[in-house]
Amino acid sequence: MALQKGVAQTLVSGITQEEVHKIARLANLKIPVEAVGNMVETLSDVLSHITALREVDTENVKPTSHPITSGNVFRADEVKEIFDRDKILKNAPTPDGNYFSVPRVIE
Amino acid sequence: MPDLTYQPIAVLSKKLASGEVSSKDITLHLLDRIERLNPAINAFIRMEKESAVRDAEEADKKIASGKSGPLLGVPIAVKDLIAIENGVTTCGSRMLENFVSPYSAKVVEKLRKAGAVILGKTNMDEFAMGSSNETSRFGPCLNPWNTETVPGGSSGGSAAAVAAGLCPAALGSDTGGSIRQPASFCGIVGLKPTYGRVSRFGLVAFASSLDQIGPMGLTVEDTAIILQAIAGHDPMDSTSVDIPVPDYSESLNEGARGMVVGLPKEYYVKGMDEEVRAIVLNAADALEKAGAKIEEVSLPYTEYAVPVYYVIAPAEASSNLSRYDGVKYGYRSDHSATLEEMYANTRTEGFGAEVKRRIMLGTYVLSAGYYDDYYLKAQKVRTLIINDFKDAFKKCDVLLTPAAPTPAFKLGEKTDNPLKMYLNDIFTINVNLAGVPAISVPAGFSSAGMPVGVQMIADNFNEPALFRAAAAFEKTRDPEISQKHPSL
Repeated sequence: MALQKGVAQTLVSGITQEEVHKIARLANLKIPVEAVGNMVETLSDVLSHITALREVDTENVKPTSHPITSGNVFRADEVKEIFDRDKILKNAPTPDGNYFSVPRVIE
Repeated sequence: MPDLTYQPIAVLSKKLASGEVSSKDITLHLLDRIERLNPAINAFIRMEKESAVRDAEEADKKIASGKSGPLLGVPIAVKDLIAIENGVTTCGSRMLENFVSPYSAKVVEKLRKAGAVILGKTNMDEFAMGSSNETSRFGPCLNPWNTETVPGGSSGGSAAAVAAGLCPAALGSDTGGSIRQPASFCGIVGLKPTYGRVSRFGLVAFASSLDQIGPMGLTVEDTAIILQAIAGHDPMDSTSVDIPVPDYSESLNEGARGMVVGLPKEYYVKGMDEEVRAIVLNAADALEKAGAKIEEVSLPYTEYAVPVYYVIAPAEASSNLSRYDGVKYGYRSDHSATLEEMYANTRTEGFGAEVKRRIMLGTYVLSAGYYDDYYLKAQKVRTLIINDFKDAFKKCDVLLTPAAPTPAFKLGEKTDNPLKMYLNDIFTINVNLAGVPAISVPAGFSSAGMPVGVQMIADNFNEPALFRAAAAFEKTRDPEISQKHPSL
């Protein structure tokens, strides 16, 4: 099985602090400085367990994305009122009339 | 009034039909019991008193007018990740602490249509991510058999509530064992139906190729009664499968004679808990006495289930949970100058540590450069795990395994070590990866007096075989198992 060189190195040494920061940015999370060490340690621990998958020969094996294959599900594209707008807006942290408001995006 | 605690649904519905008790009697009795006992175990995180009493009165009117049904007037609890219209659905998280569901889950609609009375919402691990119910925003739920131990997770509240006699049955959800493992830890029956058998419309998503809603109750029959009510196709859930729902009650009395029960040798490994091993092998003996044929089978890829699961489940979770950004609903951090900062602060403050860890893990395995080596690889090994089950079910009707590696463990015992916590799912997650149905049935007690369950697994949509074997086992096992209850 061909492994990318970079990946192989990471798998050996576990996840790095820099990678934790990068992943946190991708996931829109902030990891406080004092928690980075624990995140590195626990993720590396789990990832090292996951590397066992490398032993498995998966040549010519198709990936499974759903355990029960039922094909695509289609329905007529009809306009229907399914949810009540007021009810939906009640859950909005800061509703503004019929809108969801967010911090200013455009200067 | 007759004793209304620890009465199975099948018994309650007879008492209701005969007029011996009213639904209101049962409901008020349980609400009172919950008020007294819940503080000791924290199984319920919210009661729906007013609507429960109203539903009970409604059911009593229907019964008086001659209507009947196996769930008519029967109180049930619901795990707090299943939406009830106009009620709060927290998913055990700060993120959804104040979220009011604008609609009801399909399963809730179906239960209500069958006349069930919904008592309240049960505690759970945050976003169903955990095996001990310790990650709940609302504090851990405790095991009624010994409050120093966990009830299991993530449906710990549902399991503990049934075990403590606070409700005859409850709905849970199972992504990697979240119904079956707590059922084992609490000494009740828990069923994960086949993937697609029950609509997930209105279930807060964790890992979409694994999640399934299922019943938890005192008897195998009760789980069959609830499955009968909630199973079936739903156009609102594109993963729900449109095949007929059989009459499950028929399988309950067929007995195990002629069934082939497989013992997967990979589940009986060196170093496993000896008490658990003895209890499972005893169950095999009981099934053999009931006329089943016991055969050793092999599922060679079993050992890869944990690594596959801890790639796929976090990957799907990281994608599903990206919707929690503070814009349309849920928690929003109120001290952010920019939109980007608002997203990050909201997610950082709204999610607990374990949820964040899984989002990080999922984001990592899906990120550029790692996708093929982790995610795609795991999806391929998943195919091999599915093939293992296909091969096994060519030879046997059900597989018999432990439901969990040990009886309930102590609070805090595994919280510092996520991997140790994840390994607790070793006997249950293969089932979710394959989509097949499985049931956990109480089978004995450890020397410390804690319940231990066995798991039976069947082929896709073969819940009838599960009910058949599980009900036959229930009849032959030590009667003490169903008579003994925790003292609270």
